[in-house]
Amino acid sequence: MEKRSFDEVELRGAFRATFDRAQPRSDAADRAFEAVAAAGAREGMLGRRLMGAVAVALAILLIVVLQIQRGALTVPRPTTPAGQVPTAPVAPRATPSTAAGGPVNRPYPEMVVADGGQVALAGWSRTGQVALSQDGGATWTKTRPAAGTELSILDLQWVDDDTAYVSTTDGLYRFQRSTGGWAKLSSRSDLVRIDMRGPLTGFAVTGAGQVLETADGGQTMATRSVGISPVTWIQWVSASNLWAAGPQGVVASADGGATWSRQLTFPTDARNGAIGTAQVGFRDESNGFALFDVAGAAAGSRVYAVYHTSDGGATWTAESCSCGPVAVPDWLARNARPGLPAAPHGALLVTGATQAMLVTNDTAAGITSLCATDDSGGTWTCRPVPFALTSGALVVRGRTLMLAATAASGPLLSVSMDGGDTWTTRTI
Amino acid sequence: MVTATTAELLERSLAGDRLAFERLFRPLYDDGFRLAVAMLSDAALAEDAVQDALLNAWRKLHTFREGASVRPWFLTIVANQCRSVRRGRWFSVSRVADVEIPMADPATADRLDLEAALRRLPQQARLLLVLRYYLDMSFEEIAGVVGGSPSAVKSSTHRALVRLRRECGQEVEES
Repeated sequence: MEKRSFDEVELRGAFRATFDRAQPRSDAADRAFEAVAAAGAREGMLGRRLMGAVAVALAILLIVVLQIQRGALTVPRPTTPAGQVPTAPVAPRATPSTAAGGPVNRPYPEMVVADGGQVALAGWSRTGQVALSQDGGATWTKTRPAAGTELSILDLQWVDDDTAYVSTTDGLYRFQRSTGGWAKLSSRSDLVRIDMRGPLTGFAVTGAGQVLETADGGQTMATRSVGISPVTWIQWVSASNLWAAGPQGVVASADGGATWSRQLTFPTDARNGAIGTAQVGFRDESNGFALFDVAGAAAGSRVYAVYHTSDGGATWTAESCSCGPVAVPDWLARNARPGLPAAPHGALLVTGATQAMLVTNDTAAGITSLCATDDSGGTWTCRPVPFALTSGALVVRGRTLMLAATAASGPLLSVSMDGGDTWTTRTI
Repeated sequence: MVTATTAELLERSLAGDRLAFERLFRPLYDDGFRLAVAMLSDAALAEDAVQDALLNAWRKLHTFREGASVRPWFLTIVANQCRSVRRGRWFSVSRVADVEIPMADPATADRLDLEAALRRLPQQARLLLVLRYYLDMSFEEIAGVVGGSPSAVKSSTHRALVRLRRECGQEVEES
């Protein structure tokens, strides 16, 4: 092959040829500044200045406290992070909650997760199948942990672009993409959600709704109390910020999980004695959604609420319902299952500061729809996908969508590269 | 016609004047988008990143140092936002080329080579090359975005360039 050598002029030309093709939509700048105007109207300049001053003051206070403590203690005690209202701090490594004895969390039927530009991993809980793509979803190869062992897949997560953690009913496994090898890390068989911050540290949620923390890559795990029980969801958002959700509400930590404070309480009159599922998903440290889904009082009814925050959870706004035992949004009427699919492993896929998607299944009509909101959950637009599914999980990047699903014919993978207009489907 | 200076627009923005903020930052939108699209390789993600960066700029305006240049300050926020997007687990699906391009065209081959090679570079190296060779920024301006001295930035950019050429399968020409 002829070797080409970019000099600086050629390099500039190559950059332009490569990236100038991409243009923002004609109204993109207008929309961006409208978003700033809307945020400015909400927050007010005085408030922003005040918040900035308070944050600086709290940060200084935090540093002073840590300095004082450093002289007396080997390990600094957790402190309440700046910007959060200190509620009763939770003692680390508390005893397991006995209230959470039932099967609160079940694995999603399918999971799909991806990392960086090219690698993706999909799993099917019931069959124990795992499929790997290393070319952006164009081709897939099958693999499975502990070949020959009957197991179910509970959850998947990439911790870097070579290493994935796979929780199964046979234990927690590590998968190395570069070697194709599997290694068993732990025999725990109840880790229904895993959320690692890196290869060593992270959290998991058990089928009973307990929160576990590990500092050695899952080999040993200690129970943590986060102030609500049971927990159905946990998510790292940055190195120190994470959120957890359960039927009681949403809690947050800004110190890596050492202390937690309640941010949102779900409506108690909606529960009717049933344990619902809850999910929290953040785009960044400011913008997030919370979703609450529980059986309603009337047979076959569901209570379903979407909340949104743009200030890191300090305030939450209920968007899609009045948050009592009321009618679900129109598009979720009949027997639709809002809890159906989506996310790396959840019902709601947060795709932007005010944008989210989910896949919902109208089992009565046999129609699976892709629904999206761009106004924090206030309104949703749905359109059917051109195949009937019993369940599915979705990941999105830009206009690329990947759906790991189960249809009447069995497991399948479907990829759209045009925002859902057209799909390429393959059986697994 | 009286043209408001940057300092006046900044002062008015800090006082809550959103039109002043828009006059100050709208000329930087395209640069922000170009940086984001080169970092994220996706126009839709780039639009989102720049919108979020503008929101952050509005919120963090009180941290802007008097006398500093607005452009590198804003591009720093865009770059940080791009890092955040790339880290986000909820977005972790692969990017796939938008259109099929016939491979016979040498310019197309260069484009694909460069895009693929850039993807293999660490984020910081990619950022340096994009700022230098796509946004045509001086080393002084780049230092304002990534931190460090202009001479250190020059060295880092050179190393990034060497690595890019290696990734492109080229002979490395030390200069």
